[in-house]
Amino acid sequence: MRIIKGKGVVPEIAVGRFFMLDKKDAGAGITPSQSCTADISAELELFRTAANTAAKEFESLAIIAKDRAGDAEAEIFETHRLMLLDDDLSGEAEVLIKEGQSAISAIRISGDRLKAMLLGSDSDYMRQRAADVEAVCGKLLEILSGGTGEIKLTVPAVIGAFDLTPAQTLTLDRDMVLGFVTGAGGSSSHTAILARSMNIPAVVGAGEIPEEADGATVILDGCEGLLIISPDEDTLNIYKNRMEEKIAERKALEAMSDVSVSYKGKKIRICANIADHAEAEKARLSGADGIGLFRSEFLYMKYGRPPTEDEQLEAYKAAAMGVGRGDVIIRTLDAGADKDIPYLGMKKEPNPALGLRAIRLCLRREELFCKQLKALLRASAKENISILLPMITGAEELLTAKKIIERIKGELARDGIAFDPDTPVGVMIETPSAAIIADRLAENADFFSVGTNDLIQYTMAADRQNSDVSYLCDGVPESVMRLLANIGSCAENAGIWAGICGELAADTDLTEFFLESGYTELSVSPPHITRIKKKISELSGASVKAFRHDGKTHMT
Amino acid sequence: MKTIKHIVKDPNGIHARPAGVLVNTAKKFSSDITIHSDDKKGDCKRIFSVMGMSLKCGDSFRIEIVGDDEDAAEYAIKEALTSSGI
Repeated sequence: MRIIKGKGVVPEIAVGRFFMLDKKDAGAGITPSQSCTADISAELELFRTAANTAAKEFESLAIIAKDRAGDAEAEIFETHRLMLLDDDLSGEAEVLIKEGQSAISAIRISGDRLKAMLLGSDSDYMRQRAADVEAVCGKLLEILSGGTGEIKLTVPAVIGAFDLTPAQTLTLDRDMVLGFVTGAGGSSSHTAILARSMNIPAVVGAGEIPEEADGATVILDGCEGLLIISPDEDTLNIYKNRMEEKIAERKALEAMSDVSVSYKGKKIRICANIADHAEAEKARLSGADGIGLFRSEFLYMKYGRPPTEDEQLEAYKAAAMGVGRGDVIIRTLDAGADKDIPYLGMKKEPNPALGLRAIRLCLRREELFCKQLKALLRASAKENISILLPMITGAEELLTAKKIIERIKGELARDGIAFDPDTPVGVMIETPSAAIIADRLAENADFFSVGTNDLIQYTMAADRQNSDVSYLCDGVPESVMRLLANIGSCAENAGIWAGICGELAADTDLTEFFLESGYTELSVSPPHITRIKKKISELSGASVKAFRHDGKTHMT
Repeated sequence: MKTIKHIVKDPNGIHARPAGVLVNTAKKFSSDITIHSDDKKGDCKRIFSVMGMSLKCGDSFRIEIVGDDEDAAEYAIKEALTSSGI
């Protein structure tokens, strides 16, 4: 038995045969005589074709990464593409080729210069980026030498290599690769990041991996960062037990994503916050009970002009179909403050957070508001749409907005266009004023959704983006706790439901407080959903009633 | 000229990924777009140049945009900074 120590990046365990990959060093066999070229235009052409192919490959890797790992991981390959096309790399290489270097040596020289610059940085993070330059140059050299870097295994194995490029990591066959260990790399390398999001047991920075490991049975312990070569029977048994425990744990968590949770007999909905209808699908896969907050601003930004009624209708319907269950709560345009939409031609204000924004702007620009309401109501004909009004401060404002909604309903009915006359209209509670008079607002609202970020900022009169005063917004100030409690009890008394859609909803230390205060919905970004469901089922103890999704709308 | 002032919020600073977001956005515009912090200056359309600024969480910087499409660029970059949590 021999133990090699590295850094564990994914806390998982793998047991199996070990397979050592040879580090492929494409282009390494180039002799100096080949490094100069007479045919400059041919080399330039060779280089440009290779760069083009590589750029396309990074593009498709980004798409694969989006699917297998996530958006942030996809950006790794987008970064590689940018590095490849950067003047400092491709531009430099072209200059070198024009000076008479071959394509291969031009890539190596410009790559080495960049690596030297990065390795000379005083930041550990920047030094690790040298590996990205290496990966980009490696890809180019690989294309020029006609190889492919993809790793093919015929039997399941734990693989070892001096280093893996992010592209190699991404394209690892998950049925064959039980885990991997690399001699090089740190825990913030892109390879490590990818391993984490793909959940492949991995140990990096293990130094030299002894030859005796090749073909031996090994244990890869991603928790402790160990590679145990030829383990004895006792060690093997300990790890086999730990693996089984981990599998059971994971199954329990996965099961959570597909159930509903309840607390003290009330069904609690855990919904998703999204900014684009394309994210609704992800929400469904994460086990969301519906969309708790669809921020419609993106829709107003992405065309560089106001979206047409039909474009909006399609987006709202697509969101509902994407999530496939529960309600879709759409917040009407929340422009102004930090969300500037240029074509609206809004005046520069000395204090935009306290200025003409959200519902105030919509009431001022009624045509803009009406178009959105019409699209929302039309979507309600077939989907469970709820309308959420942002930045309400008083009962008058709410009544004015509701009057406009009724007027639009009248117009639709007159024109024979289908809509749901009972489309719920809720109030986003994000000003202290609304929180204090929640009882009054509840008389005319179908539900409340609390935007905690703004509520904290307005209550504390402190800008969260201003590092000199943001400490005032840390944690949850007592004043905000009292407001939250008031909102919850006002909703309960009025027989409407209340939810939290701000950042605080994802804080599991507050879950019990929210549930005790009467909130029955928490809306968070999709990755937090299972964690919160698990927390609630723990709070409910053994009495948790887990029912499957039935597609019905929310409780009362 | 348009100027955007910003404080880095990403706990890892402006590393490869956020630098990529910034460069991708800047490249869409014909305006000259530069990034400044203390006495350092970088070209927003070159990823190594942006990464080479080594901006860390809490560092303040400004982006200067000069050109025909500076209004649109200002808007798009502001949007990219916020939505990517840079």
